[in-house]
Amino acid sequence: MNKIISTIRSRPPWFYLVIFLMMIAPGVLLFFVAEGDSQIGMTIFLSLIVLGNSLTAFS
Amino acid sequence: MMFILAIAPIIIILVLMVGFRWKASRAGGAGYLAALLIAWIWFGINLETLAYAHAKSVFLIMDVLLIIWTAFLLYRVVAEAGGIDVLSRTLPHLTSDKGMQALLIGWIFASFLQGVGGFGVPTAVIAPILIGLGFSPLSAVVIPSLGHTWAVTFGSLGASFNAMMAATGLGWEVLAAPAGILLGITGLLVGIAVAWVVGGWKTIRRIWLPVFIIALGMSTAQYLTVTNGLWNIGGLMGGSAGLIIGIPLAWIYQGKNKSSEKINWRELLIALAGYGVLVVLTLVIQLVPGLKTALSQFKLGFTFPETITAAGYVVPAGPGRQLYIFRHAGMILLVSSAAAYLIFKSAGWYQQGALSRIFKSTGSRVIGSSVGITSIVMMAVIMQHAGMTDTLARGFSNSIGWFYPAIAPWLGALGAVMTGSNANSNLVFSALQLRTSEILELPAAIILAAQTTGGALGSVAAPTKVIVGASTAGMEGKEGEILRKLLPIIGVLLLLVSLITILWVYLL
Repeated sequence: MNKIISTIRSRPPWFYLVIFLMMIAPGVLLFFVAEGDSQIGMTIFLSLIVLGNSLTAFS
Repeated sequence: MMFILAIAPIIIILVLMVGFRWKASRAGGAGYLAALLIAWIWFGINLETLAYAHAKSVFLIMDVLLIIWTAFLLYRVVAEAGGIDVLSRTLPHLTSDKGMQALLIGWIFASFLQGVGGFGVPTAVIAPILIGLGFSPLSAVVIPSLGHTWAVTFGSLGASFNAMMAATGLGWEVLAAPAGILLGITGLLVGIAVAWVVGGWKTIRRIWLPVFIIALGMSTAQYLTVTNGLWNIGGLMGGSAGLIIGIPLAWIYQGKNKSSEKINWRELLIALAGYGVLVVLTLVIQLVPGLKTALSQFKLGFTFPETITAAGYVVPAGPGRQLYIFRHAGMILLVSSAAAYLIFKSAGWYQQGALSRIFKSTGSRVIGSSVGITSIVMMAVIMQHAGMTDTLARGFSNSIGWFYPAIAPWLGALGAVMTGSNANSNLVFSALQLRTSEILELPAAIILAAQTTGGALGSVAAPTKVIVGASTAGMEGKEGEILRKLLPIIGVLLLLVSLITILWVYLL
């Protein structure tokens, strides 16, 4: 666990790649769930984007 | 109260980046979270509006990132082959006059490098060359830092200008001409500033004529390129025009010690081949009848419904940013990179493992800033949909009023200093500048030209760029010394841009 945390803190390129995909893919999907008026879908995908931003800001 | 809340995410980014030295990616994430919370609690944004805002932002982000990724890829393709080294070796042999060396390398070549690469490359490449020619490390950092500013907006293959178009929804037909004019004037001003750094008024008096001729050539080339729809190669064409004009002028102003070394023109032409392909491809797409329409058949994008917050702020229905994949500047850059790679490969300029090194260095260089841009664009679009941008614009228009045109470039500069780039500044502030100019009934295109010119000037004083410059000149830990020299000059240039903007808005 400690090894994973220290790797994330060193911010290797793959960390940024994962975060980037975590924000972009749900961003596109949000359009479709909003069109379908799915409250659960919107909550899940927005949470993923919030999590991605939280990880970049505070990890 | 609402004004303070609306400006809080921007202040948070500023404080974290400047005060706590956080990277843009980290500070952007914090700014995003602050914007989301404030929009939710105080501005009454609902889940559906948030969902559409995020989906809209993805297309803005991809529009900007496709250019940034592929522009850096092309730069790496050329640099890995040694193309940048060839240019760096050749130019100093043309003149031994210190003033002309500074103009040719620190102004023209820096502008050319900004046109094709950007991302701090001009200062990183040029500072060591100038030190090798006998300039002090401080001057070696300050000269290219100033020299490339005017080419920032249309440099990096138009990434900053594209960001402004994406954030405002306005096309190049509206934005290019005023930006081309204001940046062109700035080009002359930074040429004079470069001469001043070399030797004060004495040097300006000695080389004012080449400064004027080169500035006129570079600015005109950039203006004509961008006002004909080729905004992605505006900086490249400006820099190229500078090289075409500057090289003969350097021969005329050779100084006392004439160089006996012969220039290898074949080598120079191969080194420039990658960018030659880019120019040709861009021209072909723009000029061959029917080709642009054929390439525009395939596009990605959504049409968004009207959204309304609990506070009653409405964003009307309409199409979001459309991505025309096959005629996108990023696609042209990708094809140019492939063509350049094949040219260098067939000329035997690559060593083993070059392709892997190109992709690795491109990926590791752009991925961090991509996350930062993603967070900042998402933040800006949330602020727009929540009515926060509108609140800021109304606050500025009420408190500053008629004097706003003079403030516009300073806002752009502030954005660039805090986010590290002109593109980010345009993403954060362009919508605000547009809305404020609408409320005050000012010409939006001129205000946005002032925004991006200020952003271009401010970007060189961004802590990240200063650190890059200091490290390449062996001045680690002396960043404050560089800023002390750089900031007063940038301040004077911004004052002049403010003055020009206010005169342009009210008198012309």
